[in-house]
Amino acid sequence: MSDIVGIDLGTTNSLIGIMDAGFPILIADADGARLTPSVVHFPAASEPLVGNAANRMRAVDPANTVYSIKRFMGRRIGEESDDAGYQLAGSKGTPARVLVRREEYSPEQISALILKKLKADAERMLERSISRAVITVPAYFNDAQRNATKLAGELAGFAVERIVNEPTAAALAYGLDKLGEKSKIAVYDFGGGTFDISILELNTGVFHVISTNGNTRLGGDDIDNALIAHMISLAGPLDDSQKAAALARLREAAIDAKHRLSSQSETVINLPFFDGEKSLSFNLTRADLERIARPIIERTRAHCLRSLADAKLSPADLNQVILVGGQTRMPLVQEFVRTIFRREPNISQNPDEAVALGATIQAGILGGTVQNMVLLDVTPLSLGIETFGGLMNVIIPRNSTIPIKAGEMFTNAMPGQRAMLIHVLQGEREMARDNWALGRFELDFEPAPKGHARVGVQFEIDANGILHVLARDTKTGIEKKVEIESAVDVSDEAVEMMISESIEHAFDDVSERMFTEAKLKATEMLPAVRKALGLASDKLGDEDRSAIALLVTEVEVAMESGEAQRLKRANAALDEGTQHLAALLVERAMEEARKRKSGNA
Amino acid sequence: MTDYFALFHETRRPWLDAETLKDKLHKLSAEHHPDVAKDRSVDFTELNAAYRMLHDPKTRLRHLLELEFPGTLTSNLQIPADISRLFETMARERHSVGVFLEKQAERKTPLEVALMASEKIELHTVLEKLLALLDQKHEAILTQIKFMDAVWEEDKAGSQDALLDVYQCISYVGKWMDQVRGDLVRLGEN
Repeated sequence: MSDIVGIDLGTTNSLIGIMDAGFPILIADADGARLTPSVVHFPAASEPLVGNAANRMRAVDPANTVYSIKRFMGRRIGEESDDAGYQLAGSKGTPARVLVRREEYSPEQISALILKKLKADAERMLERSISRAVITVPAYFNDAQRNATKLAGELAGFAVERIVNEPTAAALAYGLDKLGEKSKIAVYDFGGGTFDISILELNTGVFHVISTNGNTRLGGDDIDNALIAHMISLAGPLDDSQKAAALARLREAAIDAKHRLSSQSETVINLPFFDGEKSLSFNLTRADLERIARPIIERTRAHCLRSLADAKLSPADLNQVILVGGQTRMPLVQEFVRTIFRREPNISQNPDEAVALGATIQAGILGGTVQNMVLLDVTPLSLGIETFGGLMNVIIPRNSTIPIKAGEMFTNAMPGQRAMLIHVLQGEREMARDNWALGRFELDFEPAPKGHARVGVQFEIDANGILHVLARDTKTGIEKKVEIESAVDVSDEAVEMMISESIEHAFDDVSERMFTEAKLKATEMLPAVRKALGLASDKLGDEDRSAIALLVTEVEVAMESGEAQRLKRANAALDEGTQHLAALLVERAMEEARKRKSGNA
Repeated sequence: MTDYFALFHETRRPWLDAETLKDKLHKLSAEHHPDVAKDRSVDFTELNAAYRMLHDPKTRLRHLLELEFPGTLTSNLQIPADISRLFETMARERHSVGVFLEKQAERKTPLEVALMASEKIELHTVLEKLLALLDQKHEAILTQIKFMDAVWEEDKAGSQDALLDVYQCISYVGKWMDQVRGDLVRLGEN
């Protein structure tokens, strides 16, 4: 039997590993680097460059350098912000494509180039060919995104033996030397583009996932973008003619600064002539960065609470909280995990390597070189079908252990009805339209009186988290595999709606709408500020009070001016300027609650 | 109908210990999970279904009723008198949480949300008390199931009504606990 490799196909970096004498090892490229940047550069007249060589071209030639392709996997145009330095092709609602040097590439093709490079590196080191792989995905990836990842692997020449969830893989790496133990752990995985939280029980080599939650559009990239926005607000608007190049330089500097501020408290950002004549040079403190990053990190809270609630556990029930993903190096993230889980996070795992090591262990389990370990994973999203009134009827609930099968019986609603359209969904919302449409399929009925034709449909989610559907006519006993028309490839109502909406908005007077929105916000904001000052102004210093008064005046003046941009800026400044006041209010409320509690006791 | 008790090598009975059952799943997984199975004589998805059915007391009781007394579950379920008071309290508190969350969703700025902090903390406390109350009831029902389990083998037919009643109680209480937990999550989100 040939070897199986384990691959972490990350938003920012990718890694490949193989089992060696019972231990997972990661394979370095020709330059000795284990981390391969998930970047592909297309030179004018030669083969694409992948990894570090491509990464060096990001600031030099942004239009022909593709990065963070993972966030477009299994996605349609319009679902993702298209603020990448490279160009996207296709109209709203069609599968995402990248346009480089007048050629269109699917995200799967770009990912396949990264996988091919990893494969070549592994083959060079091992001096034999490799054809089987385990590839990781974010736990919260849906069916379409998993299928896209599998396809990318196949395009790169791999038989994809398993799609495994990243936080689960990290748990395998953590638990490799603790097989005798019984414990409950959480894995907090904050990567470049995605966030996952998974809760597992470890029991003598069995890794049993209890619940998982996450957001496939929340990651370190968002912090980079917020920092870049801050830099632009300091430097002034960018020159349109070379925006991509300027942005690429800003991004490079932002990422560098972010990394440095994980170990030092202050750094200098220095960008001479990054945008034509424009230069930028300023000091950035860790506190500045934390102020920018906090709202983004704060968004992981809801997912942590949900996964705990689904597991029916409280933080005290956990034995460890493992941190993985490069973004968890940030001190603020660690502090945040500490407050949510009320314990010191476990940073024993290398945040960049744990997932790849785990994928390699899973490859070993499948290949038979690792014994006494088995993984029971779950499906992250509820699977259902649309029923009467546009509701979603759940067939397999989220956090069900996979592989799993569930049957559903369908019958004809009218005499002689020959077919029925079934709409398959994934998600947690009550209304079908609010969930992710996986696709649709048609069931054929034999001619029969009403309610007599019966077709049983079996939904199976395999160990990869990928759906298979089988239909069986109960009378004829004929069974057939149902091909689901993928929602990504097919334009359905939701997509048409998205398109018509965008046309509608195109005719709006954008600036007028902006002003109306900003004015609405201001009229809600001003009474709130007055009320808050009435409640807590005694706790504010004179300086704070007069600063807020100034900001209020600016909002009032801006409202009179009718200038949308000015009012928006004034609103934002007031929002920012009253942060301290808001914190005081929350503190006061908590203080009062504590008093009431002790008063009752 | 598949007898999931038999599939999991358990006798048909009202009470099964959760931890023991989980250990059993883990042992069976180490043997029959498709990743590691030496042969495919046992379908892991069936074991998976059996565990799902048995580890939750609610579905376990339902399955037991279906196997032992077919037809009893067709009638419409009602909220047993025993927990109707609890239901009223629950409905009232959950309603105020719903109203609050709607109100909070309309507030767009952090300051406006902060102004609602004391109301929110109060609701949080109320919900936590409610959850504790439900949890207490849940524990009491579990004790009841254990008692029923003790006499089960001697008098199955005589247990039917009590089993149905307890099944209804635990279905409702379990559902309400999930709802209150969901509300607590929603309150704690920002």
